[in-house]
Amino acid sequence: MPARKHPLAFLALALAMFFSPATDRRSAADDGQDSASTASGAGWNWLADVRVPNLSWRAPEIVEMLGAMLGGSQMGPGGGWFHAGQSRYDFRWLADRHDLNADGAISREEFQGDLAWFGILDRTQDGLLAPDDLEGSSGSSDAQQMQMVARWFGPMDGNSNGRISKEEWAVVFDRLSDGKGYLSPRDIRKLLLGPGPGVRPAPQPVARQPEPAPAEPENDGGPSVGTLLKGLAQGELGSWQEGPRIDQEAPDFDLPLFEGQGRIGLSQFRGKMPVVLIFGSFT
Amino acid sequence: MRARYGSQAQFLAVYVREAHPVDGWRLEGNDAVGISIEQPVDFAERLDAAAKCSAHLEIDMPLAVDSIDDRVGHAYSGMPDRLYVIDRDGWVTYKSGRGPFGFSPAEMEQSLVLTLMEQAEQNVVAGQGAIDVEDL
Repeated sequence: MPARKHPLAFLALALAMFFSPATDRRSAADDGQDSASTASGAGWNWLADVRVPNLSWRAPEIVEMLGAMLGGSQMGPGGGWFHAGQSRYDFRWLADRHDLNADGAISREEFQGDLAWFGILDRTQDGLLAPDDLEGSSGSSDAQQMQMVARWFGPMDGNSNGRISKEEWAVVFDRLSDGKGYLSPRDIRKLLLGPGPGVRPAPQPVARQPEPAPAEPENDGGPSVGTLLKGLAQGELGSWQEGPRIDQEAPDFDLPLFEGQGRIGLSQFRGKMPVVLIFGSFT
Repeated sequence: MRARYGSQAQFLAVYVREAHPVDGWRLEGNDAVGISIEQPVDFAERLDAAAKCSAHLEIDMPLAVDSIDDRVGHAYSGMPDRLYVIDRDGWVTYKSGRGPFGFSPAEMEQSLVLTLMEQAEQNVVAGQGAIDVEDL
C-alpha cells in the first residue's frame, strides 16, 4: 500500500476522502419532497432547513487520531478520543411526529408507535421522551459510562469473553472480601474506583529533564508512538478512510460467511429491512 | 439485542483487520487469556481468526469475513470497531464513532428503532398511495 511508504500521500488521501463526493440521499430525493424549495421566493430562508452532512467541517477522524497519538495519548479510556455516533434522526424528528401538544416532550400517551420502542428511546427512563434522551448526551454519556464500566469489567472477566460468569463473580467476591465473607462499602469502592490493571491514564504533561541518552517516550509502559502510528498506517487502529456519512449510500459488498455457507451482501436486504453492521476483530 | 428485532432487522458482523495483533499493539490483557494472534497475512488465516473469535464470544449472528486487502473495512472505515444502521433503501441512518470508545450499542439501538419507525411511516404512506390509485 503506497500510504505506508509515503506519509504525504497518506495525508493527501485522508483529505481527499474527506472531500470526495459521494451519493447523497438528498440529491437522490425528489425535489418536491425537499424543504429546500425556493418556489416560495423566500430568499435564503430555506437554508435553515437544509441538512448537508457532506459539508461538515469537523476534521477527518484520521487527522484527529494522528493528532492524539502524536500528542502522547495512550488511546485508552480518558486518554484517547472518541466521538458520539451520528444519526439521521434527532429529537425534532420525533417531536414533529409525536409531540401532539407541542410541549417539548413526548409522553407515552402521545407516542404513536410500539411502546416497547418507547422504552428503548427513553434513555433517561423518566417516562418522557425529551432531547436529553437522544442527542449528543446519550452517545457521549453512554460511552463515558461504559468506559467506567470497562475499567473494572475487564479485570473481572477472567477469560475475556465479554461476560462475567458466576464463577468469575465469585472470584471477585473472594478477592474483595478478603476472607471476611462479606463486602463492605469500602470494598465496593475498591471495585468501582480502583484503577484496573492494563488501564493507563493519559500521561500528564511533564517538564522535560535534560538527558544525554535518547529517552523512551514517556508512556508508562504503554504503546510507543511508533507502535501507534504503525498500527494506524496499517489500518489496524483505524482506517484512513472515513466511511459513508449519514444519508449517504452504504457501499454494497459481497463477502463470504465464515461458516462457509455461502456469501452475504447488503443488496440482499434492499427493499426488505434495515441492516445493522458490526465491524470488529477478535483482538 | 438481536433477539428483540427478530425478523425486523438484519444483524451482520464483519470481521476485519486485527486491532491488537501480537506483531502490532499487543495487549497484555489478550496475552493473559491466551489470545495471541499475529496479523493474518492471507484470507485463510483471517478466516481462522474469525472462527476462534466466533467460538470464544459465542457470536450468534452471520459473520462475514473481509478480504485480506480490507476492502470493505476501509470502505466503511470499520477498524478497529464500528456500528452502522442502514435503512432498507441502502442509506446510512446511524454511524457510531470509532471503537472502542465511540462504539455504543445503546446509542445504535435508538437509531435502529427510529429507522424502523420511519419505515413503518413509509409503509403507511405507501398503503395510502395504493388505495388512492385504486379509487381512480
